[in-house]
Amino acid sequence: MKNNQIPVISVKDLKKDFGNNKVLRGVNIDINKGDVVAVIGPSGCGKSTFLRCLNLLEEPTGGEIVFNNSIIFKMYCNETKEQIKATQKEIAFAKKNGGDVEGLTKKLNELTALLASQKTEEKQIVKESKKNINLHRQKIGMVFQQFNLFPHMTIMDNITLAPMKLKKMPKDEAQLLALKLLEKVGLADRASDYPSALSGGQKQRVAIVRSLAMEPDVILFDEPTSALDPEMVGEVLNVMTELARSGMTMVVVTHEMGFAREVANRVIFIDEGVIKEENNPKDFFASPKNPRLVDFLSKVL
Amino acid sequence: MDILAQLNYIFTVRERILEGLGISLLIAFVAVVIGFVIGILLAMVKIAPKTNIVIKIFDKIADIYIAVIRGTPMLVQLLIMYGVILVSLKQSDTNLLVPIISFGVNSGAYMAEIIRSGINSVDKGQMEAGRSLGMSWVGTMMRIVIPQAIKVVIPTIFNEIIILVKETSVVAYILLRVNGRQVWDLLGIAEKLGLAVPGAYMALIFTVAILYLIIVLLLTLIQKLIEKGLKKNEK
Ligand SMILES: Nc1ncnc2c1ncn2[C@@H]1O[C@H](COP(=O)(O)OP(=O)(O)OP(=O)(O)O)[C@@H](O)[C@H]1O
Ligand SMILES: [Mg+2]
Repeated sequence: MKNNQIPVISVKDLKKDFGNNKVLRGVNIDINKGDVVAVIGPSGCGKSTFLRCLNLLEEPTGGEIVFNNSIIFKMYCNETKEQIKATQKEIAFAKKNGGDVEGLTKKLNELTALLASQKTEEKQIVKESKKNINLHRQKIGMVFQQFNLFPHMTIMDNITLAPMKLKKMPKDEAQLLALKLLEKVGLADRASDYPSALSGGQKQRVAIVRSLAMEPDVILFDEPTSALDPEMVGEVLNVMTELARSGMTMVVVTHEMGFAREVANRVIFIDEGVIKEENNPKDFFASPKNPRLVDFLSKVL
Repeated sequence: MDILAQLNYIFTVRERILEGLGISLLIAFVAVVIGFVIGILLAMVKIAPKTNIVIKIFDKIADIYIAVIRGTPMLVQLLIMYGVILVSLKQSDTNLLVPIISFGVNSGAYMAEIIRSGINSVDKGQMEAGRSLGMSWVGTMMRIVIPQAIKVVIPTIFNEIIILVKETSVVAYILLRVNGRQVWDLLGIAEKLGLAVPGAYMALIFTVAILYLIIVLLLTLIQKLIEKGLKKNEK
């Protein structure tokens, strides 16, 4: 069913450093329409960083991200720079100790030429992407651990702000849409409240509605239930399950193994900056192969 | 002069005192608005991600501006504006723009620091939520972050407004004209009238003190009302 269709998000060799801290070291994944990808991994392994790179809230330091067939990020010049440095060292070494100086110099020249052409191309892409990133983000929803509702606006305004301002949707139409969506999550009667009047679970359901109102092609969830009291986790997971059933493409960083097992169609394990294992949930949990995943699962299950 | 004579004198010159009060308030009010706008712009420049050379240059300019304004006395700034920078304005028939711009520019530096601290106090997640919906950085700032920041800084902003209102009294050091006629601010006219009649000086100075006190109390009342209104909004 999924052959030949273009992925919603395609990630190639994604890298992200914070200074000397190499958090992502080359992540590769294609996220297809209708996929529900659960992302798990030990604390600090870069799950949030990975997710935030997908909508460029965090600017990657290498690799490529393609969203709906348009390149929103591409940068390979940093690697070429490193290769150039390494080659220069090799040449210095070869000069001292004897070696193929000529061959290495040729390689260096090739790399330098490659770097120049990469720089021009990537500069162009960055420029293009900066111009279009706000349009792309309209189609990439995001739900945060801390909800991040706008506290100075009513629930209704929280939801209608982006459709009205960005899509120029008329107010009555936006409000109708908001009410319809609120109804689906059982909160239609709270539209005129301010966020501070809601419980954590209710806030998170509103946050999901807020991103749905932009009719995104994919929604990114960063531990959507981790800040909730245990009794409220269920109501949010239920909404997400409904959403998954309706065909929404979702990438969900989560500690809820139950959700990963029951709702996701793919589970990935991020560790040491790469995807160490990926599988369908049944096999992922029943027969994990990577020893670090086995170890991780033994701790969380 | 006995007290009755003093009160009588003040009563007879009341219109000129009120005109002085009007001049002072006009200067202060417009300067506050200018200062607020400059403050928001400077704060945004200071806070914007320093991604390109243009914003870096603006950032340096903002730094210098804030350092110079905070590092020199208001009166000295006013005299420099009057004597050097705003010479063409100074010579026009109505030159109130000289003090208005001077005080606005001065206030802008202080407002910038106040607003910046307010913006920094807003949770980072608010900007991220706005951006992830597809709003621009400036749009998110204006619609999401600054409205919340303002709420936090209302007390400090009003403090700055009150200081500015009182500080406009140094405008008595320069010659003001409206439609070619010389005018005075509140303190300026009080000094002039007080010196014109022997024994009246202190009575006029007390009058000035009382009028400023009333203005400041009114401002404090407005501040309280705004704070109350904003609080109600959130619950
Ligand atoms: N803005 C930042 N500046 C510097 N380092 C950062 C930044 N954000 C994240 N990091 C570092 O990147 C690494 C990965 O962080 P990240 O938040 O992506 O992990 P995570 O897998 O989401 O962890 P958790 O399960 O605790 O949420 C950590 O070492 C963190 O300290
Ligand atoms: Mg995280």
